Amino acid sequence: MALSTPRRTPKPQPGDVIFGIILRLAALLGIGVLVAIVVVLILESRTSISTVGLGFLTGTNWDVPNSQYGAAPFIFQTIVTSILALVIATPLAVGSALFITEYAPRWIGTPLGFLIELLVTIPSVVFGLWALDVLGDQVRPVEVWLQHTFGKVPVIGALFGGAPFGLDTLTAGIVLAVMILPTILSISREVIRQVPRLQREGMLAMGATRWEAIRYAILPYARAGIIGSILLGLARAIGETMAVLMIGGGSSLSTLSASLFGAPSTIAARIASSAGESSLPGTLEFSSILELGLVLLIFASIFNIMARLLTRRILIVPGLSD
Amino acid sequence: MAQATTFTRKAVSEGARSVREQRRLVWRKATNGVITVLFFLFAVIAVGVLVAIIGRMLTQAIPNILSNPGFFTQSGLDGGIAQDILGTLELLAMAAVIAVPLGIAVAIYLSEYKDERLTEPTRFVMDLLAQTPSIIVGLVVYTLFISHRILPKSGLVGAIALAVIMLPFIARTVEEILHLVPDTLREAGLALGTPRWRVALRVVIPTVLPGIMTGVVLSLARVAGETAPLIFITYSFNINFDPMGQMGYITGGIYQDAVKGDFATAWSATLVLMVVIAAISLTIRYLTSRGRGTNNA
Repeated sequence: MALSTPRRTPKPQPGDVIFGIILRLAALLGIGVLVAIVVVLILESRTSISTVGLGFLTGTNWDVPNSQYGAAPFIFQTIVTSILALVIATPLAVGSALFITEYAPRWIGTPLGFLIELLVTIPSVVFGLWALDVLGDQVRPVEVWLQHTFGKVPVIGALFGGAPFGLDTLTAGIVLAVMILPTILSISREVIRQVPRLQREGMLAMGATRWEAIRYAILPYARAGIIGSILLGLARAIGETMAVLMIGGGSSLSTLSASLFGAPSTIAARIASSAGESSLPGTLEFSSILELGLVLLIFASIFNIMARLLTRRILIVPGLSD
Repeated sequence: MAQATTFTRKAVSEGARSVREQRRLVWRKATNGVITVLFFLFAVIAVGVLVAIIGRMLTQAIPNILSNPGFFTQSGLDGGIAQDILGTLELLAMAAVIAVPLGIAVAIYLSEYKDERLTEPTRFVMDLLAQTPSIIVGLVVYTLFISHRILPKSGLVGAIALAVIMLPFIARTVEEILHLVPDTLREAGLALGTPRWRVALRVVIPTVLPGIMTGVVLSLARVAGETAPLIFITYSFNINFDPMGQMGYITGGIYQDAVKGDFATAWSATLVLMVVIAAISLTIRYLTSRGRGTNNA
């Protein structure tokens, strides 16, 4: 044949083949990092899982010298501090977001938003420092008052038992709130901004007050995104270590306590305070810490995935966290 | 909005005939006013906290630094934070050496080989990695390298932990930047017979090299503030250039000082850290807001 059919696909260049292999290896390595994290956590907590079993999650005593490994106090403290943080941060964040986007003129709103989001750049050690230096002293009188006023009330009074030193779960909750506030704020701002103008203007044209327009026209649209931002804040709060560690003074509360004035030993703080210990892999002590890590990772992942499902349409820029 | 107010007034004067309607209107307007003030207060509180923290930092740090000439040059044992500054730089440098090439490679893969089956999972995993709490990264790296005696407690292991945290950030930001390069540029190269790898390395990347640098520097700024992953691994008060030895780092220094009660030094170190982070972030914001779209092919 004088003429042959030309190739349909270009001849693979050796350079391309090598390049492709290198890149794919890099991608696999990247995936491998995450896989390694999960595998290490699971493998190293084998001892603890098989020895303690489900009692790990429900046991209320963490007493290493006596081989008691109940993580319930840490799980409980993590939940308490995180919920406290959310309760404080969400109204502040959403309210500020609404103020910035709906009420304030541009020249106030934009710099204001920028400033609040600067909070994200502050490392969490600094928040811990601030708590130790300033916040603790400021919160103590409030705690004393709380105990004085509500301490005797049945049920709620248990929240305010114990010695109110000012460096406790309540303070930790406040600090966490400040740390997750910018997260909730920036996503909420974005979501609110994306509500179609016509909705807002339609309500106003019908004689609604600003608040009514927000409540009935904007919030229903923005609700999913705002909830997503709350979940993201929650995920961040439970993973937060340094500030909580510093407030707690590195103590590891080993029993369950309902008081807000107790030491905030969250899962993350407990893991961090085991840094000085020199237990060996394979032992129960070591393995229990790794199992704590596994539990933390699972919780954080659940909330992160839920958050992503809700805010998929909005660009999320991960902020600083520790 | 002005129209709405006028409408409301008109409504009152024209339409709100009954006392009940008038009362309801007053109630609605009152609620609105209260909420407005409330939201304003919330915003003030949010900014107020920032101002309080920065204010505290400045009032504590500046007098301390001014009265302590050796602050930047002496090590912790003599009252300075030189070992922290050096240590942070060393850790960041080592972490960058590990994370940057890998991160850029992943980013190139995600961007240039978009339609392969490995791509979506990789992107997903990078996002998951970005959201892993840093204490867990530190715990795992510690377990993997130190507990099993592969490496001693050293700056190198700390750098590995930091690199793991940096990796997803670099990968994602560089991928975004690579997306900004128009496909026509790639197609032009390919049409001229340039092999794919050459197009990626010699056409696409040079176009956005400033952006890539930006991404790298940003992720460094972010990681500079991390403490939790390092807490397992290393802290020392001595100036140390050996990656296999322990070294200090600014955030660790802040932690140590704060726990000891030495708030003045802690705030001073914070100031140093914040100045560096702020300088980097603001420079980058400035450069990217002006330079968008001015990349010359």
